[in-house]
Amino acid sequence: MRGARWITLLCLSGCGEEEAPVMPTPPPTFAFADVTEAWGLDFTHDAGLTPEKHLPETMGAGAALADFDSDGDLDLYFVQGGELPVSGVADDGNMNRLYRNQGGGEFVDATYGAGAAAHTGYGMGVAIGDCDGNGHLDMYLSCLGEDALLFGNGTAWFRDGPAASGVRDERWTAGCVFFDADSDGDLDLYVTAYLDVDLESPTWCGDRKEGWRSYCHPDHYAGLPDRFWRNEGDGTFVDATAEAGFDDIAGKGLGAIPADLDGDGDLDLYVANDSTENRLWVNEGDGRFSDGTLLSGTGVNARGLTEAGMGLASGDFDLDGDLDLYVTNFDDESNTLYRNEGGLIFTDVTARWGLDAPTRMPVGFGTMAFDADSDGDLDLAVTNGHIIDNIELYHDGKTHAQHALLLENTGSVFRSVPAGDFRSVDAGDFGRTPRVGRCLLAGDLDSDGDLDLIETACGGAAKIYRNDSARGGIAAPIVGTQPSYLGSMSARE
Amino acid sequence: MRALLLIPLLSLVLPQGPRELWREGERARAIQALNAKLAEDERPELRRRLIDWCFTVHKYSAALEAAEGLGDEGDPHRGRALYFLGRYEEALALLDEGDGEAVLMRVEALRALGRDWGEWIEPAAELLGEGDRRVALLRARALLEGGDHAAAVEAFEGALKRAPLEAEALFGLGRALVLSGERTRGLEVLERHRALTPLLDALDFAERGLDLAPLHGPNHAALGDAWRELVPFDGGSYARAEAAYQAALSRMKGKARVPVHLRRARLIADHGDGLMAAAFSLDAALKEGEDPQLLVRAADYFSEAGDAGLALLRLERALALRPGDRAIRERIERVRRGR
Repeated sequence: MRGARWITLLCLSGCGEEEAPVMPTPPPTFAFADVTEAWGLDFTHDAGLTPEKHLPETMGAGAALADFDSDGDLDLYFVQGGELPVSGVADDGNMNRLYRNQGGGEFVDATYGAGAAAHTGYGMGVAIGDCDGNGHLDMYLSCLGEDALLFGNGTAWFRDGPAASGVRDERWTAGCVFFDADSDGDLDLYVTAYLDVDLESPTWCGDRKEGWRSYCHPDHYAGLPDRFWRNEGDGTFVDATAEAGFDDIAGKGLGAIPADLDGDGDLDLYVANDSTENRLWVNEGDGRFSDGTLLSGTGVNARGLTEAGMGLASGDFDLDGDLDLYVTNFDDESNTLYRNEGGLIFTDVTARWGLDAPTRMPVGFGTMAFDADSDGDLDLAVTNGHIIDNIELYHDGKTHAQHALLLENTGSVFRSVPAGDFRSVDAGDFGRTPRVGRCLLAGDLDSDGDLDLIETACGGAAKIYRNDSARGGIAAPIVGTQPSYLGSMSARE
Repeated sequence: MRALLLIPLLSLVLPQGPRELWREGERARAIQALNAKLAEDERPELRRRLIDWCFTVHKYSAALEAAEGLGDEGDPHRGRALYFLGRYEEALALLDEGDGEAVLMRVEALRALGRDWGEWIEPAAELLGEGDRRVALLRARALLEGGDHAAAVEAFEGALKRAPLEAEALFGLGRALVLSGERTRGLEVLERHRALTPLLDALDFAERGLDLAPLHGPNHAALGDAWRELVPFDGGSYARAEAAYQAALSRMKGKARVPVHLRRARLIADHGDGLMAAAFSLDAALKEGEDPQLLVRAADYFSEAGDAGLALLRLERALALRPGDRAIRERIERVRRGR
């Protein structure tokens, strides 16, 4: 992972786009313009919605941003859903889609020339990295059903390699991330597993009246343990979950982010769990991890309560030289920002930094920490969307589709504003229309030096938002950040 | 006589009143009916009831709308509704400063907005009393956030004495200990908090289920289970578990009651008067009718308590109900061997 940078990618968009009132628009400090159609993106996620309200159909899906064809710009990859694999029947009508960047913001659908990247499983997340060390990007796909490890040849073409790779997982997996856990120069793989759901005999949750059937709470299901796959150096993997010290904890995992949280030069791992304690795994330097959750205080919020952890970002929000953590959560919980105090001690500063109120009502999914206004500090973007499509029946102040948020970090060494003071800002088209947001990525798609946003929706269209912010100039590098919930990308420079 | 016969017949065809609907769990219809009644007969007491019902079913926008009809008197209700809708700035202008619960909401709203809330601790203490666990928590939280870790330790310990199941107090105590240099003790407390947290989550889940369907017996039983698991952390949970099981039994009939009797017996065995008492509680349940599950479990408790004779009697009754049951036969053999 030396010399590597983390680019994060993932999105979840809303299940079903809804017409909604336009938000009031104060003078724009930030400007993100919806250029989806103009740039040639036409991906729409198929959630495979059913009357039985299977929980997996609320969760997808992720996306990735990487230079798949080695031409120097960022291409796009979207994970697809489709018909749910009930009774073992997989839908082969929907495939993941790969869009090649032709430069300057023109994308063409290159799925049919992408080989095995045109995957047809019911997808959740994606991780990108050169796991066989041949200089070309590979990808791991987490799915409801059999996961896939695909090897790339640098021309946006992939071959399926699960049998040779040793990686096999048929559970409901979600977040996945490549990182060099044992500092041996190759990329290992961590995959979060979510819930043990019964698609054959789904429980009826919610009221029995017509139209009131709802999705069951994660507490209704048993969690599944995450898995850690150690790279043997050639792109083959062994299950080293226990050996590496990742206890067999069924944490209902969603997001996972590697970051050097203790500043010792190796990558630690933070895992967001849905409605159970999040986990901070401290890298002991030899490929083994110890549980630093209790000491760090990052398992629960300041109230000592577990939250529904989903998306993750990491970055030095207060410019004190270490990496802080940001976690998106469910409604009636705020998203949570943990400030790194050093010595592996963190403090929940969500309220103190003004991040509580703007995030209390939405259901947060994908998030990105990036310098949206190029003022030298990290801002936060969050895509939101409820999982329950009829939530308004149960709480008349909540909606399925929700506004995304851009939270400006007004703290800066250049201004006399305390670092880490956030406020919600108008961001042009980003967040203007409520969506069922899921994955959020940031990357310079048009090579103009600032970071654009990509947002997926559950059952809806993916969007590209071009960064037209007035101060958009030289973007601060994304260091140690990995966005959200389902998938991430690590790319070697 | 004819008139008497007409009364039940009429009750089948006449629309039910809001109260009846509410009592039967038809809450959405009850609110609809009460709204209709208010349209014909606007009375403050009816409107207050409507507001109350709206809050109960999380219809905060509806509560907000309903409170408009009360004029200025509706402001505190509107403040609460705005608070639950996450509209904290607006809520702050309307929340009642003379009501303790509303002051707690004010603190939470200020906190969510990233503003100072410390000045509201004393008003909260005056209105709710120093004995209130939430006041104790506010004081402890302020000390922790202010960096006075040693004082925070003391304050959280005090809060825990009042409320042993308060997650924030336990977590805050652990954090304060770690931050004040008592790392080992702090980690011990945090381990205890880690053990408690999933149990509190389960309790929350059970309470939400009950909130959605308050008349459903199994939801009460699930609440009993959640409280039962919390007894090691707080003895007061025993009575709550017992009350929940009784509430479940009062709403269930026939064989559906059997699992609840079994779970209640486990409460008694694990945390109450012990194995014999648990067995006798199942004996009492058997007065409702013979049941092999109740008999076998009672036998297990008697056996574990050392009374093989009573155990065998129940196992033989169970075998009479299920003559081919190998598990019962094996139990009988085991008890006989152990005599």
